Amino acid sequence: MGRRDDSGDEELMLRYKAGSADAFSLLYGRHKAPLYRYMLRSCESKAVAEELYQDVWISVIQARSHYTASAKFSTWLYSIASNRLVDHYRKQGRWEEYLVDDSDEYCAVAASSEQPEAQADINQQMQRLLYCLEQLPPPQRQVFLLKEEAGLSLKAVAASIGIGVEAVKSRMRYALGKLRLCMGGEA
Amino acid sequence: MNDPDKTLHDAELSNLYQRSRREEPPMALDSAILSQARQAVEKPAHKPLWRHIGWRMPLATVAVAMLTVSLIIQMKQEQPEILAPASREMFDVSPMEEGTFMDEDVPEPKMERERRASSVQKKDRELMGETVPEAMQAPALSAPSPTRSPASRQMFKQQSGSAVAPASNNAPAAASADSLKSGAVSGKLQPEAGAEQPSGLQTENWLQRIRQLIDQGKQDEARESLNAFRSAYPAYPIPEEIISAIEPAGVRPD
Repeated sequence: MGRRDDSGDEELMLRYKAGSADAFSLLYGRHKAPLYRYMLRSCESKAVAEELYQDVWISVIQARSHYTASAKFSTWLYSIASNRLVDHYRKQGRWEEYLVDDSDEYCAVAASSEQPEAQADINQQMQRLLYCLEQLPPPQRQVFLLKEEAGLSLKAVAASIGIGVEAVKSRMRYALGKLRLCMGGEA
Repeated sequence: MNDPDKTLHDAELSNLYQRSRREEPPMALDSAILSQARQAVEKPAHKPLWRHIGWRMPLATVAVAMLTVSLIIQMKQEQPEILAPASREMFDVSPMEEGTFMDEDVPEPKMERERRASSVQKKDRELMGETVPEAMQAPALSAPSPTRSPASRQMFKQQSGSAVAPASNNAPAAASADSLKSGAVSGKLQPEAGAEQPSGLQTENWLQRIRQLIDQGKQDEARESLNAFRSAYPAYPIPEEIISAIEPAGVRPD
């Protein structure tokens, strides 16, 4: 998978800060789908995902006057998104789920109940993957999605969610192991 | 030992996941967000109050200041015109006429003086021109008007003295209580001390009227007028010429 090129994002955001609404439109077009899916896969329902998704962009709009190009725009954007998710979990009383770094229990259950066939339809595989992804603990799912959906490097993922790079690596290892196991492969 | 790269990246899973990425935000959500973004830059949220005021406040301040200055200048220009006539008349002290003022502590305003003089003249004319033939009776005025200023009393003193002078060179120039008491002036009674002095102008006009009657040969009218005069001003000195010109009462030609 190739990484997304965000080289022009910072310039667009600065132009929007200066008052160019068209610059924001371009920026929005680049990042709307990945961010939407990130929120969709991180929330329990589509309605909640869309609400939080809109909140993220409103935060971007309101914070434009304070934006500086000290970090990549995508890192800054998903930092806002991750914080919004944490706030949501806290309100839901599900903050403890974010504290679990690894839990083999989820994948183990998934792996035992639904064993994928070797030559399953691709669509079924995709569905299976999304299902397995949904079974991951939120912290591990978050790392996987930030990497695969947002295209952030592990270092950028660490900057976005405010943890160390090693913690990101650890979560990523657990996430990939559980996904493979859930998909019927080996951890 | 696992390959760090493989534990951190799984190509199959990554590819599979990339193919599953199909969801997109609804268009309504896109429109709402883009609309908010546009409105945010069209109307900045954090604009200082002084920026809202902009150029309006300074312009209004300048306009008010200019109006105020204009009004002040106009008032200053008008004030001298308003004050000047009154001030000139009020404080104008024309040279004192000889014999007019004896009391230097009462400089009467010019306008006041003229108005008083004209009113006195008017009154005298009324007395002499209209009322004398009718009122061979005692005039209503038994004493001078109480409203007359001390200056008028002073005027009487001087004028009475001057009026007396032509009649008799021996008559004292000014009336005085001592002269009255001493009786130095024969046939002439000086105003009693403390008595309210009549207007010299009024009495002189009256006497002049009597002279005219005498000149016109109207002895009876002149006599009656003289009697009325004496009733009004018993202490007023009557010129000798008038007395001698009028035949004594009771002695009338047939």
